[in-house]
Amino acid sequence: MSESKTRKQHGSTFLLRKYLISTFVLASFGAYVIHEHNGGSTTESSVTAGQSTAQTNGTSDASLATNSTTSADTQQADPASQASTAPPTAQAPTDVPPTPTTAPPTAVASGYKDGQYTGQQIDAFYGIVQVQVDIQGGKITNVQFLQYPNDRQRSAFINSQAMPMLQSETIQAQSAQVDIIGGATLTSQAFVMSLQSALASAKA
Amino acid sequence: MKQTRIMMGMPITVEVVDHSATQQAIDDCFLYFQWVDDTFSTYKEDSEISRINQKRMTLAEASQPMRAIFALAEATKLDTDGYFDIYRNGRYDPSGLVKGWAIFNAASMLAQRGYWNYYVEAGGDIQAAGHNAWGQPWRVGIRNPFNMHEIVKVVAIADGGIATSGTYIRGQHIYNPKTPGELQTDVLSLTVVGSNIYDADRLATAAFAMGSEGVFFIEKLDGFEAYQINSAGVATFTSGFMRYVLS
Repeated sequence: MSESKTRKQHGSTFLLRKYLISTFVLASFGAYVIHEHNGGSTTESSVTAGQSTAQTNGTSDASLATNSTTSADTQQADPASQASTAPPTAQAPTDVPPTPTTAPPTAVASGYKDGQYTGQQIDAFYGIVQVQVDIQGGKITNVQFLQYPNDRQRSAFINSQAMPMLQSETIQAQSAQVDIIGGATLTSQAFVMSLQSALASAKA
Repeated sequence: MKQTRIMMGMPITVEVVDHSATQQAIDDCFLYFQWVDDTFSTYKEDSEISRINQKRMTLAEASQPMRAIFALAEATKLDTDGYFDIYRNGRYDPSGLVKGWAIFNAASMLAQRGYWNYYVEAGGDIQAAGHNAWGQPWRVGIRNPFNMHEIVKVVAIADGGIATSGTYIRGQHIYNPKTPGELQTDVLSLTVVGSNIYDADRLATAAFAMGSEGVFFIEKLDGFEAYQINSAGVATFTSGFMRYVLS
């Protein structure tokens, strides 16, 4: 009687140990999978939430550097060409006093007095854009945003775990014909308008 | 028949390719946008929304469309975990909702007149129906946030809406030494495709505000797809987005 009881106890201890070991093995495997999943190669074309953030952080320095050079070119070249070749974008909205910049492109580079000029506040419909331009030696040396529609910024945690894998690609310019162009253009037009008004006062 | 006018501080284009298209139909669309601007512009002293913000009018006294927009705003706030809120700094500004709503209504006016093939585009957001002049679905290019003269994707929209939140100048904030680190910089643009521009627009606005998580928010929603471009020039897109892609 007592012997069988002891055997029973032995049996249950054995069973418990078996469960513990199985649990440990499964947990280890689970942890390994999660580790591989999160820290896994960023060369894959698919990304999860964590990976896309990591990718962005890793490359942001380089991209910012690229941005600054390309933007500098556009800012010095664009206002002149926009003002002279694209009349529709040069029109001010109805509730803003018009600030026509009618000077030919050649006069743009040399006609400005040195100093710092503030552009008008331009209604980009979802917010206000206002720029300030620095002129040195008759040339634009810097353009700053004094106002910018960023008030929809919110910071909150969004649970993006257990999401299907999304795909990613490096963007490439397309040459195909299109009927319509979609995209955020408002702020850029407001930028040009505010810049034009700043440059108009730089001439006066 | 196609016309573009600058209204509400942005170019608005209406094109109808049905042979029965009339100038009156297109004029009526622009008149509608003018009414929307006069009613909802927070930059106009005497607009209805300004009168509400100045406490010269209560919401109960407001027009039916104004009350409709407030109801839609409340619903959108719930739909987007509070990311979309027209009330800030003590004022109501429903412009983030009104644009898509106005495009959708202007397009509906064309449908009511019996047209089948048209689109209405305002500041890069589009509601399209039917086909273009060559009998194909409307081909919509998604602008490159790094270069506004380029497109990076071409999608086909037969009946539906496409909206983009973001701007190509977003990366340029680095010129402003006063605000480094304050702006959300990792996502430059987020495009949402769906059955109508009203939903696509409000969801794009909310998702863009979420930063890099935005595309995941759209992935969770039935009937909407998104294409999100970050500051490294990498696009991340939802699992069904490729269905719309032509090139």
